[in-house]
Order: sequence, then C-alpha cells, then structure tokens
Amino acid sequence: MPDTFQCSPGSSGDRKPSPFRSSSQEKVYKPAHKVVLVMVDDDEDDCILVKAALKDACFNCTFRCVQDGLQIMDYLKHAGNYQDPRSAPFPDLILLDLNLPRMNGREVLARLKTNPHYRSIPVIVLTTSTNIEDVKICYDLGANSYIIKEAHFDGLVTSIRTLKDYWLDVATLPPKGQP
Amino acid sequence: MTHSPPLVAILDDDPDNHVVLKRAFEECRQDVRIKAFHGAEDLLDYLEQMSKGGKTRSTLDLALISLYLPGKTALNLVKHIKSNPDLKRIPLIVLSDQTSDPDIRECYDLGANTVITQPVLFDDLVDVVKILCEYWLGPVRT
Repeated sequence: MPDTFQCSPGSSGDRKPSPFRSSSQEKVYKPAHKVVLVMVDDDEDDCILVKAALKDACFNCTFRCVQDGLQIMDYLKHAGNYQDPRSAPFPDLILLDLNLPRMNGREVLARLKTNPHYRSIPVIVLTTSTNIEDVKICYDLGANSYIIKEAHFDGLVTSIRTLKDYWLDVATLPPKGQP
Repeated sequence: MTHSPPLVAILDDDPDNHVVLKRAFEECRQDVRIKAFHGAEDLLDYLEQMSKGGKTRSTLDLALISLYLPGKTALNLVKHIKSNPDLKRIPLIVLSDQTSDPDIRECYDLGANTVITQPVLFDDLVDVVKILCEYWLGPVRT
C-alpha cells in the first residue's frame, strides 16, 4: 500500500485552529519540516485504519508502516529493504505494537531506548493489550506513553486524533540529527 | 480514563506560573487537584513519601516541571526520577519557553515523557493544557 500521504493546508477541512497562533502575536512554535510518523505493526488493516484516522487530521505528515521489529531496526539503520535513505526518513514519532513477529515490541523498545542515536525519539506503544504488566514493563523500558488500540473504528479514530493533537500540535519534539 | 479527580504536580520556582498553570488546568478539568512546588527537593520529598506508601502511580496523574530551574536542576531531576524504579512511571512533562533549547533533546534522552513549549498568552496556554489533559487523562494508560 502507498505509505506516504500529505495534506495541504487547503485540504485540512475541519482542522481546529492552531493554539500557537494568535492575532495579537504572530508567533509559530511548530517546526516547518514535515513530521515523520512510523508505525510498527504486522496487521496491515491496523496500519490502514491509523493512516485513515490521521489523514483528515494530520496537517503535514509523512506516514510509514513497517511490519515487525527487525524491519524497524533496518529502517532506522538504512539496511535491508531500506538502503535508500529516501525510503526511510528519520522518524519524529514511532507508534509501536507489542505483539510483533521476529522481534517483539518490548525488545524493540529496549533497543531504541538504550541506543543514543534513537533514544530521544518518542515511542508511543499502541497495542490491544490491556495487561497492567505490559503497561508497567513498557514505561520501565522508556515508552513515552501507552495507548490501547481500540477495536472499534470510531474509538480508534478518537484515540489517534487525541494522539495527533498532543504529539503534533502541542509537544515540542526532539531535534533531528546526531546526538 | 481517569474518573477520580486528577492530581497534577507542578514544579516551578516562579510562583506566578503556579497560578497561571493552575487556572489553565481548572479551565479544562474543574475537579483537578494541583500540588505546586517551588524547589526540586520539595517535589522529590513528596514523590518519595508517596512511593513509600505505595501510592505514587495510583494517586499522581502527571508531573510538570519547568526547564528553567536554577542550573541543571531540571535535567538532574528528570534523570533522578526516570532512573528510580519507584518513580519512573510517573508521566513527566518538561515545560520549556522555546522550541529550540538545546536541553530539549537531553530531556528526551533522560526519559522525559514529553517536552512542551509553554505559550506566553493565557488563552493559548489553556488550549495546550486542554489537549494535554485530553491525552494523559484520556486514552493513555499509566
């Protein structure tokens, strides 16, 4: 499936006015570069749903989906299928499922958060697991937040829009580049 | 989803900012309880007392700390909280004045859950706090 979308300002529809602009103070806090979200999920339907949920809301995003833990490591290192750096722009945010083939989400999280090149990337665990032990382990490993992946589309859309409002409109993301 | 009145700790050595943040939170959640601290030691004492009672995660929903405490206080505090097994699961939000501060990356490196640039205008701050509440007191599990 195509894994990139862009929304022009004119197509943002019912997007709420940015809280960072005001008529009395023309100050824009948000970075000008396109925000790159990478979702790690082996369920293609979930990727399509999240992409759809983001599409209406995301002002200036590139969305990529990779299928498992080994693929996200290849993506970050520009190895395997991602040797062309243009195919794998450095993520501003990672959405991470836990139950992944080959290398599970906990191991991915541990690797990302102990690597000085990647540990500043905010990682949001997005999983169907409501197990309190999973929540605890993920925060212990350094997850920036943990969200339950809703089974119903409407619930998922609401969660993803709240996520988008917070991480893309309110949070100041870490600068890209070498540590 | 947090149904009980949420408890938010704020650490800032500027008392004016306590008032402003408290008002912004109250605009978003009328039942919010704010615990304001002026010094890092006071906040740490409070957190450690709570954790001794086994209550840290069940009672504290969020901690907001100013990046502009004297010296490297804020960074040291993030490091301390996020390396303490009893405290590290507290959602820790660092408030900055500018998006380009070189300490922002270090905050994330040390485990801050988010860095937020605090808007100057009150109406903008209310918008930001509203989204922050909707997120941390909404779909996020802690």
